[in-house]
Amino acid sequence: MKFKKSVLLFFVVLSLLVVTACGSEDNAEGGASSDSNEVELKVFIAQPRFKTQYEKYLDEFAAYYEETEGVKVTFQLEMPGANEAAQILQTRLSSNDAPDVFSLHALNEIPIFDRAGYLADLSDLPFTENLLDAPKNAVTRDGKVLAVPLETLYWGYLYNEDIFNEYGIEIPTTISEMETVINTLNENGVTPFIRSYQERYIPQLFLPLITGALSATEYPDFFERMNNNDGSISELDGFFDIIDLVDANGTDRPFEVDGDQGSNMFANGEAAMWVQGPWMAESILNSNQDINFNVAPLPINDDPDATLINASVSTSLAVSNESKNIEVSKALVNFFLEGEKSGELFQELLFNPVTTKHEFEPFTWLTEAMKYVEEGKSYQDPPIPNAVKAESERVFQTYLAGSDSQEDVLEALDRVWQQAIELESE
Amino acid sequence: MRNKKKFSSIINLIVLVVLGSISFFPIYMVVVNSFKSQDQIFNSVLSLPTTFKFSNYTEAFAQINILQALGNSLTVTFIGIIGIVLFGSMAGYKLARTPGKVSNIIFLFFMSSMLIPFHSIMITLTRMANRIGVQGSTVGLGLIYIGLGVSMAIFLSSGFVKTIPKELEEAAKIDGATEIQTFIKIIFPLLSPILVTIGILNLLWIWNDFLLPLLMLTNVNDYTIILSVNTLFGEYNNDWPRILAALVITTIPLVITYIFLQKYILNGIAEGAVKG
Amino acid sequence: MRSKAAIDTIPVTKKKTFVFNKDKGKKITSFLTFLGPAFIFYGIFMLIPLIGAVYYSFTNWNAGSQVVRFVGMSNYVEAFTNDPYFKDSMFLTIKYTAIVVVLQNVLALAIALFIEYRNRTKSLFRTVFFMPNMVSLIISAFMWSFIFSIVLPQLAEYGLGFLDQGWLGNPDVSFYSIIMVAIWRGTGYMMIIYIAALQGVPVHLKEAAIIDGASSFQNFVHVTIPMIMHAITITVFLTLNEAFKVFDVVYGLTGGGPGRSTQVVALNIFEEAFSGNFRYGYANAKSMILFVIILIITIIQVYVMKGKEVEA
Repeated sequence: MKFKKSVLLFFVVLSLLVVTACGSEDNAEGGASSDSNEVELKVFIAQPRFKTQYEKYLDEFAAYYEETEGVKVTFQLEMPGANEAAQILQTRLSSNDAPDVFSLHALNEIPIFDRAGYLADLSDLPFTENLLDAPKNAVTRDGKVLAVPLETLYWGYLYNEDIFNEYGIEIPTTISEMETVINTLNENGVTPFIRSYQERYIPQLFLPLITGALSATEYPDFFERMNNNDGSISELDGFFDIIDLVDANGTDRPFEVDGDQGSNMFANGEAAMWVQGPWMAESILNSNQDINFNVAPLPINDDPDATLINASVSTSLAVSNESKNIEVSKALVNFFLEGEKSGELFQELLFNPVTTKHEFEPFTWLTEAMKYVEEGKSYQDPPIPNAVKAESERVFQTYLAGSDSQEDVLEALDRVWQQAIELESE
Repeated sequence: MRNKKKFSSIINLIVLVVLGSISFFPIYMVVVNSFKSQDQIFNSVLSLPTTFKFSNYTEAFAQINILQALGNSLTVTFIGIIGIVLFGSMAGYKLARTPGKVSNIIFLFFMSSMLIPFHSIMITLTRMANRIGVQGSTVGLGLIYIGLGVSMAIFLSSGFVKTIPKELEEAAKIDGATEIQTFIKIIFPLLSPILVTIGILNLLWIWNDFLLPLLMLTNVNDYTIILSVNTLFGEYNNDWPRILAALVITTIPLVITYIFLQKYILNGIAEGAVKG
Repeated sequence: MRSKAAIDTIPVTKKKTFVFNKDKGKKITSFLTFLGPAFIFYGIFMLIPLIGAVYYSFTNWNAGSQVVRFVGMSNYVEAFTNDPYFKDSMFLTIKYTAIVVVLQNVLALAIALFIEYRNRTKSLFRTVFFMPNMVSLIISAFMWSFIFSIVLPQLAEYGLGFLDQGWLGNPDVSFYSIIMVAIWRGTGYMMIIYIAALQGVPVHLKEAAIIDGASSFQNFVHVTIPMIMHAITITVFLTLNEAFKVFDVVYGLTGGGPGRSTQVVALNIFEEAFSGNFRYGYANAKSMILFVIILIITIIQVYVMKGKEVEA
């Protein structure tokens, strides 16, 4: 009897000991002290295919920093696959395990991470002075620069230049002109659009394209009102027009086509246009090196002023507010833009120029898009709450599959938007 | 009678061949297509490759540093298995030999953990691992697997211990052996069939595991082979030729192990389940 | 604890208790030595995180919150009353589990029987059917994703028209695609267990039944099945557990889509925690609910089936 009792007691005590041990607030180890001459930085970049390029550049920084500050820097580079990166980063940030420097999606993730207090203020670093306007806006929140933009995107839809030239097609500036283009293509036996709905993010692309263009023209205070719980997405007139138009004039079996297959089909000329972005360039060229394609703004209604290029920033680098080596980390992210070989790095990573120091030419398929941007015919990728984007991925799929109605979609988006705003104010 | 037997024998064969082909088909497809280019894969997936693009393999090899990844997987798996087998058998033995309420409660404690979905404890486990310093290394990851896998080992070994006659231990005690000596020299060797089972089950699980290593390994050079293959899946596009080549390379170690240990593996799983 | 006075007045008992104490001490030490390591590892890496998860399920912890607030049962209430996606995923998972458990066990047993029937090619077929189990789950999902979207449509052009389905994109079909992959992968493991169990059925019982005039079917149902009941209990337990928690296969093949048509419970919880509003606390509550459900069903299943087992 006593034997059993004391054994039980032992286990209870043991458990309590372990619980209190982890309850105590000693911080995690790992990472050298911040005042010695050696520093180890934990760097998290979700682009494993560019591992060698990043490693090389980190070494450049280490050499530079040792020369100028006399401190030796080593790195622990974490590069998970892109599909799991968000989840891993979230887990790290929430378990007090933040990397010193990490990559994130500027527009989607800065608001959330900033609210939680994870991001260090980078406004006083030199790179901010040389940043081009569009990228700078994308990484600024409440007047503070919170990340270093790396990957900028200019997009609307992709079109096959050769096909357009063959049939003398001009880039449409309104939705009616787009209908004409579609008719021309149909008459000549060419499928107008690639439809690829298997990967959720592709149908979702319509959301920023439509809301962005409309909020830049007809509904200027749309986002302000939505983020104050004072509006509804159903206000937007003709929201579904372009979605329906594209859907009615596209390739077969859209739910069996993912990004890779879509690239392959587009590259082989199976359709003339694809509502996708230039980030598919590598995949497209991988299938057919000889294709000539370009980026054009997507018309969403009959207002030619609403046919604009979406300018956005995705992959960016941020510094953790809780980093024990915050000075070195800040120097590192600054170096990404200010370092001598920054231009070279950007070209290797297939990124566009982001600062005035970048003097290389953009890709051939972006020349027209850049012209639009220079003419002011663009808008910044709109601040849609992450939860709404995630929900739109799913409800657009069900809408295009025919199981949800337009009202269902709008209602779902409104509901999730409201929920997101409420959560923000808790 | 003879004809009837022959007939059913043929039917038997046909059914097994058809089902077996279905079973094997995906693997065959992956191997065949790993030698093609992206365009060929998308447009003529069934045909045998016209030219064998071995470059897919060499490129995959180079891109994800396969030897290093294999080494990492080995480290993690090895540590995990040793710990699970040793500590699990020790605990299973003691629980089986100490009947009573306390043992039952402790036993249930361990058993219930088998039902917990991993995602429930994912974040809190990461926090814990970080705090006590086992995160960020393959050795630490191996240690974590011990904690996660020991329950199943206890379950299997305690059942097996009941088939070992107590007289053996009593005899050893009379001969003056301490309990630990008895365990090491007598019990442990007798447990070997079930220990092989446990070792192999955990080998398959740990080698192929994905989410936990992803959370615990913070240096890309520490990545296990599964993690490394996964890095080939890009954000927007997938380089299928390389991915398929890498998939083939990943599975080869397991296939080789299987062929060598075939007898043990199959006996192990069977005995483990049947006796447990 | 007896008082010293009591011990002093009863010399015989005193001796006994003294020896008992020493013995007891030894027993405790030995118990701790053998169980200690396992319990420590288990406690640190499994138990404490679980307790933590339970704690957080009562809070409103989410990715964007600086302060974690205790909210009592409200997460649990919300899961039951205000979460249609969760409810849908629960029904979907139950439907999935029922189908997979039955199919996997029937198929595994059938294949085991067929293989046992053979003489020479046993080993070859065992290998062929066990091979899928050696491929990691996430990799199988990718392999099959490749098969469904590229291989099968091309195969369909060779006259096998029925292969031309929206395997992954059609909500009605994708449910079955997932089941196919799960069965492809899991059946081999169960088959091995059944083979072993079949080998343990005493031949003389079967022969006696034949002499008594039983057909092979009756033989099977009344002799073989009761004899392998213990194996069936185990395989059903394993398949039930795995099917309820299914994640990797669905994640790799459809991600829960199109829309949410294949979103099983584990995926719903995952989505709650790692996308959208990143509500960890709420996701943990749903996790606990899932755990309890699995626990109850498993207990019932094992209890019922253990009752039907028969000694040799």
